[in-house]
Amino acid sequence: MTFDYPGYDLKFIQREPCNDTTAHEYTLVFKFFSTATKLHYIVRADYHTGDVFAIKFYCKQHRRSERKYNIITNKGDLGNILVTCAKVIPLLLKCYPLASIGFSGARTIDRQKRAEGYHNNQRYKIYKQLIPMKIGRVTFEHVAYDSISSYLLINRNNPDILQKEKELKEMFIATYTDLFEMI
Amino acid sequence: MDTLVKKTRLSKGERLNWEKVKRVTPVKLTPDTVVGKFITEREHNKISSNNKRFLVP
Repeated sequence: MTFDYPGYDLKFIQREPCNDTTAHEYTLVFKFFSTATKLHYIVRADYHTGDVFAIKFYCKQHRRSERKYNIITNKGDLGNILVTCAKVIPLLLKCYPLASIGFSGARTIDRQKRAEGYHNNQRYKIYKQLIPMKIGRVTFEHVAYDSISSYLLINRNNPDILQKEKELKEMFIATYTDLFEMI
Repeated sequence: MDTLVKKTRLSKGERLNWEKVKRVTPVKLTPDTVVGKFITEREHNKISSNNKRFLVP
C-alpha cells in the first residue's frame, strides 16, 4: 500500500476547553467531507500538558455513540480519510512548532459485539505503515508501542528525546487510565 | 426430508476469535509494561521507499 492519496481539505471548527483534572487541557476540532463516502468526519486534536497532541477521528454520524472510535464504517475511501487526518499534523506544527503527536489504534467492535484485542490491532497496523510514509524523520522521532497499539511522534526540537518519551508515556498512562475499557 | 442449512461466511470477529465485549477487561497500564520501540532510519526508509512526498519532512 502506497497511500498516494490527495486527501481532503480540513476545516478548523473550534477550540474546546477541557475542565477536568487530567493533563488534557483543550481540544482543537477540525472536520472534513469525503466525497466518496458522502460522510462528514471529525478530527480532534487533544492538547495535553507537555506540549503533545493526541489525534482522534470518527465519522460524524457516530458522534453520539460512546464507541464512535471503535465502529467500522465500512464505506471505503480509507486512504483519503487517513491522509486527511495526517494532514492535521503540519497544521498543528504551524502554531505549535515544538509539539509532539500521539495516537492509538482503537479496538474494533463488530456487529456481533465482539471486540478485537488491544495488542497490535488492525487500525494500528495501518497507522504504523501510513505514518512513516507521510511523516519524515527530520522533524519527529518515531516510537511504536505494539503492545498497546499506540504510536508517538516526538518533536526533535526537544533537547533530550529519551527523557521526553518517558515523560509523555507517563503523562498518557496517567491521563488515559480507561483506554481499553469496554465493558 | 432434510432441511436446508444455509451456510454463511463467518464474521471477521468469529474468524479472528475476538472476545465478546462483556468479557473484555480493562487493562491497567504501567510505565514498565508499555515499552516503545524507536523506529530506526533503516526501518523508516524501508517503509517509505515508495513514498513520493512527506507531509512533514
